[in-house]
Amino acid sequence: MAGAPALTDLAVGDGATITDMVNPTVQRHSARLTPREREVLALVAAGISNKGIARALQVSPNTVKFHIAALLEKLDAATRAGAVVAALRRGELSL
Amino acid sequence: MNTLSVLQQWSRERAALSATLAPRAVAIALDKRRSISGIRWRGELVVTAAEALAGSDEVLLASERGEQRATLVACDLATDVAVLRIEGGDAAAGPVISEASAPTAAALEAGAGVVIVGRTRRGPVVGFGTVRAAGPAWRSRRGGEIAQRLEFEAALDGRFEGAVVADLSAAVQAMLVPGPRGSLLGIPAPTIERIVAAVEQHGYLPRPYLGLRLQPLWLDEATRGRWGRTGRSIAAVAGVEPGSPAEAAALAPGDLLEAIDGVAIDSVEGLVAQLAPSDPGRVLELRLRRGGAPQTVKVTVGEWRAPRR
Repeated sequence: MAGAPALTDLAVGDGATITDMVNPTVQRHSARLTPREREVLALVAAGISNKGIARALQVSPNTVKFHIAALLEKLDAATRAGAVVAALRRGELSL
Repeated sequence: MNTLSVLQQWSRERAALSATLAPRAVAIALDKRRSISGIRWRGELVVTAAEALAGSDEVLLASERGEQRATLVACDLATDVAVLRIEGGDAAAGPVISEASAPTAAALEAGAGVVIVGRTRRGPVVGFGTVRAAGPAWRSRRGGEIAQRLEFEAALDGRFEGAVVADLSAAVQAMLVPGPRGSLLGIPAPTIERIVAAVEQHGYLPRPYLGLRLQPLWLDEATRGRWGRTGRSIAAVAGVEPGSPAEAAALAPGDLLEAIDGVAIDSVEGLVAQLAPSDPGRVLELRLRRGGAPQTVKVTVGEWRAPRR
């Protein structure tokens, strides 16, 4: 998305900018997901199996498991559903 | 004349009830040592706990018909319902599933007795318990619409995850799933039926898709007052996927989402909850605030597709 304005630069009216209003709990999270992790999580959210994800991304099932373990860790989630909710709240996954 | 004591009758009825339900219960092997349970729902379709499958799509399934392979057809993390199809099986063969164990939509009441029947590769496992809480319909955090809140009291272990929960007339009421802090929850039969029916109709589970990324923002009190909002937070559009329904509706980063079809939304979960029951093709009316000014846009819900590469 080169050239697109960063979300925090956009005015939301009434003189307030989004930066003024960003949920502090969101800002506190530091471990960003990698683009590959976001791809894996979108497939997890859609209920695709590990093998299905491996096929879609042309990687090995073990690589998928590795990404999912990293996702659970970064999103502080115990379950796949928990990871999906956490990523949706952080704006890292689209609906 | 041998007359049975009340306790002997009680014991025999419990064993008979368990035997009636046993053909419904299957074991699903996760690996060499661990297994969970599942419910033969209709024909070749089996339901189990989605989260426990942990991404498996081919499993070994054990029932009274012996061992068979089953493949994943649908996995709905929002309701924790996964649907498997038994491979190469003849639906008519094997143990007869009693009519008495047909799933029921009748609500359970707190205090009612339940029987929980699961299976391991060695045979059925049975527990008796009580409905600890029976509440109204609810939505999981992930947006799953669940017909009734059901919590049980029973002494069970991991082998029962995905097991049959039936009332004492043997009608299947729910599937057992683990809840927070060691609680035992039930996914009610009507919720499972909705998913199985969608799978039967489409061959898979269609998923609504807008292509929106959202982030929650806190609203200060002054802004809440100016905008006439009661909620402390609002969902802001953080991104719009190229080629998505959201892009077609000209949604843009910075738009603040106020309501969908007249239902006030104040969080990302709020949109998840509204979107979850939407069928692809449905038109949603989104009320937004863009640059401080209210606006209304219509978005046609799309269907999620795996990205092409």
